[in-house]
Amino acid sequence: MARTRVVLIAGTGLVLATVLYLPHLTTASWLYWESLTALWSTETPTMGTRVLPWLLHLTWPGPAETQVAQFVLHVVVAGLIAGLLRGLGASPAWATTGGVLLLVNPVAVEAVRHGTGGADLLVAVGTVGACLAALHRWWLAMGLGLVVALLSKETGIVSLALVPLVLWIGRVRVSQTWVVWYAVSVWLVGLGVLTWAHAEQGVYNLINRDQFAVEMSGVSWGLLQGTATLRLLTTALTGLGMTTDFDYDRVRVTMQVVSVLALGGLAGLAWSVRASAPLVAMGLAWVLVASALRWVVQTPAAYYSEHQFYVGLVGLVCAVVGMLTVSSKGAAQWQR
Amino acid sequence: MGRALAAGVVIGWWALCTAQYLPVWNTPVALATHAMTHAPAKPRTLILYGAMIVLQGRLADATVAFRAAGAAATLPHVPLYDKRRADEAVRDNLQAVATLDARTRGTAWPVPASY
Repeated sequence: MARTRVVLIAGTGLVLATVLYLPHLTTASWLYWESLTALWSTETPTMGTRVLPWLLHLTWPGPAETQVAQFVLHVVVAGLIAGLLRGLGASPAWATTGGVLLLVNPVAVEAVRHGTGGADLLVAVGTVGACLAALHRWWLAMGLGLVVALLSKETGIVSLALVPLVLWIGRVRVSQTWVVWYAVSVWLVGLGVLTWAHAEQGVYNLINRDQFAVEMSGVSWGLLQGTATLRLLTTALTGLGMTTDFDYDRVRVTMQVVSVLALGGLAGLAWSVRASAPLVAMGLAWVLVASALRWVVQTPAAYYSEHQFYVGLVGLVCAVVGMLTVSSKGAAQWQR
Repeated sequence: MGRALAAGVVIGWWALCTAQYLPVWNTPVALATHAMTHAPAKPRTLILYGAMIVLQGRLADATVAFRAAGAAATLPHVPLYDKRRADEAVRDNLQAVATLDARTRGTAWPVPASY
């Protein structure tokens, strides 16, 4: 019975996503900006952190085949989310529902349709895969997942923080030796990144790579990125307000401050429900951790956009499954 | 049962929103606005971006970037769920779009004949 239900939910989700996406992907062409991306993809990557997307674009160079490949990655991430939720104790039906929720979320559109979204999809594959492996104590697979995330995009570094979060929520006990090894590995990765950044363009550029073009103070950037995070979270949840051109510069400073305070409120909410609704807590914390780097690192020529939010979307989906299964008494019922 | 129904409603609603949003990525206004007005400094960023490409010796690409900066200055903010306003914006800015490099117009930035 349970198996039939899982097959039914997964099948419905796959058919729905295929019907939605495929007609658009097979007739896709490059966007203006992507033609330059495609141009870069034929060159050897100078940024070591994007080796895997570079290989992806080399393997599937055309716009239609790239986007079909990215759709397949989207389905893979959905499957991994189902596995992650199952590993956290969700029933097979609710775990599968989590995967389907990701498949049909409108904010995922940009990651699949945008050529550069391939990097974010690969980060999600590596990160969620690493978290899933960690839950099962498959340490080698966890390491492999982290490597995939780190070699896909600079933001893959958030996976190093998301694995301990999942281990904590999943109540996976690890030895002190494991903690020491993990900390040393994180330190070595950090050292490697700093050394690379210093050699390539100076350490300062790691936190402000585009300073001569953007000319924004750290505070202004943080406020606008906080606003973008809240807007993406709200849009992903409600499905309303989708646009390829949200103009964050038009948001008043007062509202930017309110947005950042609201994010603080969400962090407080995550902490307060960690015992009663751990899935909601983990999901919200995941979104904030996945977005945190964006609040301080000034990326070249773009505010926090939909495809960059893809890894955060994983947390939102987990939180929604958690919310849907919270009983009237406040206890989570996601294991039924 | 109630929870399953709620999950079904969320999946159905999100799928509807996705179905409405996906075609936006095939419209010229989406191609134009996303590529050009996504940046904090917008036209200025594109000009600097073009300057960087000049330094790399890629003059043809730089020309595209400079022209894009000009077009970005003329494109308004358009909520893309508003199909009527989006169509108007495309018509109003068609000239700016059409002035782009022919190489780009034919491949990377298709403007359908219906516009």
